Amino acid sequence: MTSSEGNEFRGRTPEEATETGLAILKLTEEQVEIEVLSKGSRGLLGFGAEDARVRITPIGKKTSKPASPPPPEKTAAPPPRPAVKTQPEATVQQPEAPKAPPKPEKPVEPKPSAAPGDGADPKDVAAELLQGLLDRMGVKASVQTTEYRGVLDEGQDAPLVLNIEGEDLGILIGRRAETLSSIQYLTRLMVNHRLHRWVNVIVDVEGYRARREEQLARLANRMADRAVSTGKPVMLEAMPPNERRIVHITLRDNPLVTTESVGEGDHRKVTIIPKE
Amino acid sequence: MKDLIEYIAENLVDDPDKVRVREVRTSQGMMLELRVARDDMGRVIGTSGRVANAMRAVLRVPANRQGKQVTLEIV
Repeated sequence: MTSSEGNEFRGRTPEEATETGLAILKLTEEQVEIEVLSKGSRGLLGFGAEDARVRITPIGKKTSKPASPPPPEKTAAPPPRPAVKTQPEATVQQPEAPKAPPKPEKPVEPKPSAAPGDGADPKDVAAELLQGLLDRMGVKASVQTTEYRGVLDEGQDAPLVLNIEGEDLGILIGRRAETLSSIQYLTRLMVNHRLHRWVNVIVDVEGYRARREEQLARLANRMADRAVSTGKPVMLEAMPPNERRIVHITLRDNPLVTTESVGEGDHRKVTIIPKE
Repeated sequence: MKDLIEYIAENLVDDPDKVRVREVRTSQGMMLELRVARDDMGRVIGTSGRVANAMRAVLRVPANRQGKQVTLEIV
């Protein structure tokens, strides 16, 4: 299997590394989880410069299938630019660079929404598959499709949200939402398998995720303020990838701080670093 | 619980007719043995066992509720 758990890519900046990685994997941003392993450093006058490293993990992609159906996208897309595996050479160019260079726009191609599928509405398919799962788990609950209200990456399509409603459903969330994550993961796989294409599915229990997202966004902003006022980095507690992502996205446009995930596996934590 | 695993497996594999789940009593409780077509093994195991572990996690819900120890093995 080539794409094992996460692929690492390098570039001058995390953005560049991400772009390279997505081009190589032939995936779009919404199909992967991106973790910045190292933001790299410009070094001093080109000395000691270090590449930025990102880890890109396809979400719920079935890697075991040798002859996967060709993705419907990329009809007119030109072949990806040869990966810019920049070595420090490029780092000398801006000794007096402005503090906050504008982020390069990432080329996010919208997915063609008219992929054939089996003619069925993905919402109905997803709701039906999830309902079937809950029934067999012996849980009395109903499934509603709702609008996505959370934060989105630029150019990202709104995912399909399935909300489970019923009584006493804490058991479906589990410690650190692990049960809920598993339900979501399996639902996603079943939906994608049924439709033969990638659909981003979010499974929520009585608005738990939605509330948690708001809570995390508030926490992120509060901790960013603290980082700025004390001038010291603030490290948040360990969180699962989807929660770290919310922190990163919330603070993406904050000009006063940068964010970074450090640590491995279950211990990865977001650090909020005040900019000089 | 057997039908829960059957349901998930049948919706993940290319050859649902080959999905078999057997209940085996063990000293601690019960073990579910899942069998699928050889070519479908990867789909029910997943990268680093991620799919198998997700199935174990959802299986824990009915198992806990019934106060049983239930394990899942893919053979």
